[in-house]
Amino acid sequence: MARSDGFQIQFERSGGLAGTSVRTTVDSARIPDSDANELRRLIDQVDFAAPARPPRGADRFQYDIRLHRSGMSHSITAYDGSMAPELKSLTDWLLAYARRPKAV
Amino acid sequence: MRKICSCFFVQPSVLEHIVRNGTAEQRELAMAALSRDHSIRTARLQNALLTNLVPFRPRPLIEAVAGAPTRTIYDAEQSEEADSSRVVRSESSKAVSDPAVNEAYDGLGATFKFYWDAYKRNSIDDRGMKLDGVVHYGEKYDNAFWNGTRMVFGDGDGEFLTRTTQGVDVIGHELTHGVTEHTANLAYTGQSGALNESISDVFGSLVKQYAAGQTADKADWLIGDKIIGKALHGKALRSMAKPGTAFDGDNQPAHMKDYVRTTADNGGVHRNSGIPNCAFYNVAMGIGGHAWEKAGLVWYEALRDPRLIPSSGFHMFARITVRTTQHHFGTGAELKAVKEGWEAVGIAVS
Repeated sequence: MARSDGFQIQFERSGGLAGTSVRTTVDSARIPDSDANELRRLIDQVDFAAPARPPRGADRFQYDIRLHRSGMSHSITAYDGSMAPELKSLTDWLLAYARRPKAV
Repeated sequence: MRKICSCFFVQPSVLEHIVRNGTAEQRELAMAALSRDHSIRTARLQNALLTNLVPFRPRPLIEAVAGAPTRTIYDAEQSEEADSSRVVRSESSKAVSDPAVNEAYDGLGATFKFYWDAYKRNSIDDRGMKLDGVVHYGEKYDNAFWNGTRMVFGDGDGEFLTRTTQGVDVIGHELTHGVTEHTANLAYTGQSGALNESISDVFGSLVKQYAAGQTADKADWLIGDKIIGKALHGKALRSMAKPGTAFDGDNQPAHMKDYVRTTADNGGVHRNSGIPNCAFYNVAMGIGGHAWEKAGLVWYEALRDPRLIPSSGFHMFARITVRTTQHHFGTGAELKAVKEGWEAVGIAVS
């Protein structure tokens, strides 16, 4: 994959009953190519212009994603229970990545 | 034999119009006409009108026959389908082999009993709403939530959270989100959201204290002590007595000077809730005895007060608790405890 298609992501899952946050940042240049390609595929399917729709109820998880790519920034906020499936796939991937043991 | 006329000469919708738009005298006559009809439909209409118009929400005219819950527990079978239709236990059926099912059933029962015994509240909506619990939501799902109709419980990943049904305070917390939705309906964002969260912690803790028969000084004032996993390194998810000290990463403020402004977590609803949580603890300890009897009653009546609206914040709620305390207990030790409890967290009330 061309290096010019690099991107960075800041991710936070907040809220939930416990109110504890999970955060991570991902730089496509610093992760294995297979991960970068998969993440690029997931990102390309997400509509970052879609408005957040807070669901009814309480104690849902909130997800905030900020994407820096090709000199542009895109932000999206989403909530468990009212997310498009494509966005859900992306948040699932980022959450798993955030919890993956990292080499220091 | 005296016959009480219960037939309508004027349609309920016309009476409703009179109640909403008529003079005080017309309103009284219309309300009296409504009260003579004992149909459920009319009682519901009248309840709705009373709820909207009278300062202290009176008890509904149809009292529950008995304080008995109607529970149904569903199994999401590790899916993220909160509307699962797989019933695994229903009201009055025997315990099953799955502990999550029985914990949800018992916890919802304990919470219903608490609200009924302490405040004669008949379920989430005070009209006997059925209690639907969903267990095994998601895979290793680190959360429990209220989705607007059901209380939904994840199994936890075992590291951060364990099975969330294990905490009766957690179940009480989630059911109370339903109570709040059916009363003040506090908006779940910013300060009103933090107040909404605090209300759930207050009554979640009181469910636990009531079940244990504890006085305020004997209670642990912790939330989630039974479901916190080892990875969080602590004794609970929140401490109402000392917000910010429950576990290693606990960053709840205990005073208005430390109020957190953030866009995460719906504007920090699970963080700033520490402030009113601590106020309630202060008040309950100041009054002493069983916390649900006086401090809890004041908080409950304040939650039902029509002056508390979806956008209300801490100060409005605090002012209403003061008025409610005066209304129920006069100007003695209870009032002093309520004022001092709020002032200690940086919320001055006159």
